[in-house]
Amino acid sequence: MAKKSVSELDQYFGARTPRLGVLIGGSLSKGLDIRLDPGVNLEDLAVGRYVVIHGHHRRFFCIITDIGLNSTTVQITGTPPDMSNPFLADIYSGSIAYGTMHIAPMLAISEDGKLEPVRTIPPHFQETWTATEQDINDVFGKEDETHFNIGAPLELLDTQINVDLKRLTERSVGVFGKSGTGKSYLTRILLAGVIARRAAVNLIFDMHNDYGWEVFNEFGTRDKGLKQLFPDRVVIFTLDDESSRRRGVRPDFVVTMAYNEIEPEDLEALRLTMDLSDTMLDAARLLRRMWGRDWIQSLLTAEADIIEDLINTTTINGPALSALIRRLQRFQRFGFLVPQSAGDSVQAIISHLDQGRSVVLEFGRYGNALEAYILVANYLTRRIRERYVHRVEESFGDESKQPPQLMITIEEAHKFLDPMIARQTIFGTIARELRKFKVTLLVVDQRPSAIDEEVMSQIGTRVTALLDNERDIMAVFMGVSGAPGLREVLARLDTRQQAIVLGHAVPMPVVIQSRSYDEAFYAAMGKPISGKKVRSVSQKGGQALYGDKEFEGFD
Amino acid sequence: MTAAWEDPIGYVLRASTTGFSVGTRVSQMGKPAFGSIVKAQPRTDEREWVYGLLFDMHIDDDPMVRQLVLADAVSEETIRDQHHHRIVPVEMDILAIGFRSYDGPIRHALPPHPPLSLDPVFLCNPEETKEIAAHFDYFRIVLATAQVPSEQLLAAHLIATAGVLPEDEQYDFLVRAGREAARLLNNDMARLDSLLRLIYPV
Repeated sequence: MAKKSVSELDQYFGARTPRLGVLIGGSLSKGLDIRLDPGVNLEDLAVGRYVVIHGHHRRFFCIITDIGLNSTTVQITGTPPDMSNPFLADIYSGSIAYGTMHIAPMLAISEDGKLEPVRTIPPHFQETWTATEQDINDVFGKEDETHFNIGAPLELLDTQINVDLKRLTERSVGVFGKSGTGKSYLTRILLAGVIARRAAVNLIFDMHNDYGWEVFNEFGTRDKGLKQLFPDRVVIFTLDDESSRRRGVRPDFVVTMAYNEIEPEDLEALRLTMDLSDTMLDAARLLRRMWGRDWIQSLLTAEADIIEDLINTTTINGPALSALIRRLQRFQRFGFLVPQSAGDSVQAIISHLDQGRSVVLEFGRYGNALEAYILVANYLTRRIRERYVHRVEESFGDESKQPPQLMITIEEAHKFLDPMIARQTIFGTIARELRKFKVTLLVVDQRPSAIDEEVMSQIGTRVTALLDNERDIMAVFMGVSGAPGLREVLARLDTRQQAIVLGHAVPMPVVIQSRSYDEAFYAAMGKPISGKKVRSVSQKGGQALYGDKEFEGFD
Repeated sequence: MTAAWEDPIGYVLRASTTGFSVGTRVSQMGKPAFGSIVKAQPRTDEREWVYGLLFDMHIDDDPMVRQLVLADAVSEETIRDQHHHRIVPVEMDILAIGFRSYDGPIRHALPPHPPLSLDPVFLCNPEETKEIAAHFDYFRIVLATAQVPSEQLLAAHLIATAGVLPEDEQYDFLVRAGREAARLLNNDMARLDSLLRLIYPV
């Protein structure tokens, strides 16, 4: 095919931003090296920003992963020129001494606008430009019924990054970031999108009461919870009715769990948190077989002679049994554990999910007890997933029985998905099953390196705020092409409102300045999608529609 | 009064493809200067216009001068007369940097043929000067020629060329030229530094 002339390229690519430089080397696997033009101010560049190389027949969409200094001769580094002389500075900068940037090619856009994975690289000395709004829009499309705006790329705040919600929810999602980087905030935006567009129903194990009802943000003002945004699409369940009411929440259901509903399998997930050994778990299984469903209460109320008899007549080890009793006694401080359950929490949750409502389970004061969080999440999820499996299998014969796509949100995910227990817990199973049974996870965590590798490899979309631990960074980028460069980007994110999104739901890794969770966002959640930019619509939005009145949701 | 570039500044004395010498009168010495761009005009369209940089002017002695030098007192009138009626011309040496075939563009390369003896030589007019300096491909010829004081020559030429440009373009021109020189001399920082200091706009 003949090379295109510059004017033809201009016609095809549209108006261009000032040129940054030319491609001088690199490879597909290690990234490309760009020599910057004289006059390009290095301080105006930043890792994480987009650039575009205009090849002969396609645009290569790349992300800046490193910025450097170089010179054509080593002599200049030994005897630096007099840069206080502006004339000499103008000449040396960009000629003998020049800037470089290393970029990772992420995506190619063919002449007919088709997005393609990058399987080749442009030839030497092709021109490199800052990505334009048009480039961003070509890649990330417009917001519509299945695409949700989660923010804008750095420095192109008038554009928007839209995640594909169908792809987001059909595989598990990870939201990672060190403490205080806004994981809950990012999660709330994603969940709001999923609920607003009915991409899935959600079961949210809300450890710190961040999602259901309003919370105070870092500026001391209140952010609305999902229930306030979507009153008819979200129900609040609570383990701690008193705490919920104290915060002004009127929960739809108070969850209780009966001791006799806890199975030894529910304790498997607590192996690490409660320091349960194999011997203790074996003892629990044996007691369950011997004493039936009331095994926990029987054990906790057993007299000394019964214990002694157990030790003498079964294979149960004495010290292990004593340790198991001490561990189980910790359950007695959990008010939601009762002798007889007041209602079927699992059925209540499933009933709401079937009606297209998402369930936020608030933990109230029990959010600080990791054992309670893991016990309840594991207990409910195991049973809900069992019913989902059953119903999905039924739906093979009758499609009308197909349950809605379910996304389960868990925090402190590494406690559930540690390599030592991930294979035994229901969450490990769900993560590995992908979309087979229409249940996926949204894991929120600050230590991705502590999550089982196999589980991490199955997380389809990763939204990652700042991480500075090298092992965590490596874990997030495991299996991602161009990862070495992206590591540099991740380690240099701002501590707030910035994240890298990569994986199944976006065409290419993208650094975003996330949307603000404010009145404009609330208003945008209720607006029909016109394909126009929500940013501009929403800015005029709320007030014009609702005046100065307190916003009260849409449904 | 005619413009400086309308009348010949001299005529070709000797020539090769790398350059030529021009013979002129003392009275014509004032117009060309070290670093000026000149052109040798062919007498037929079959040959090329040869462009070059004036890199040397020298005044050789003759028998009359030898005698006068030894005289005790030489009057101003005698000296002026000697200047005007020298029997040996003032010589200017030109480094060829480009050529133009009939009606074609100026190419920055050594000419295919040298100019011939007695071809008239002119200063380039401002338009030609700008045309030549629009690209800096001839820098390599200047900097690679050992027989000429290349940094001094290039500096003089650049300053003269900047002078024909509008004032607001002069600085950018010198920076662009400096960058090209930096590209070519990146392994000889001493020469580069010397050149850049010579063209620093005052």
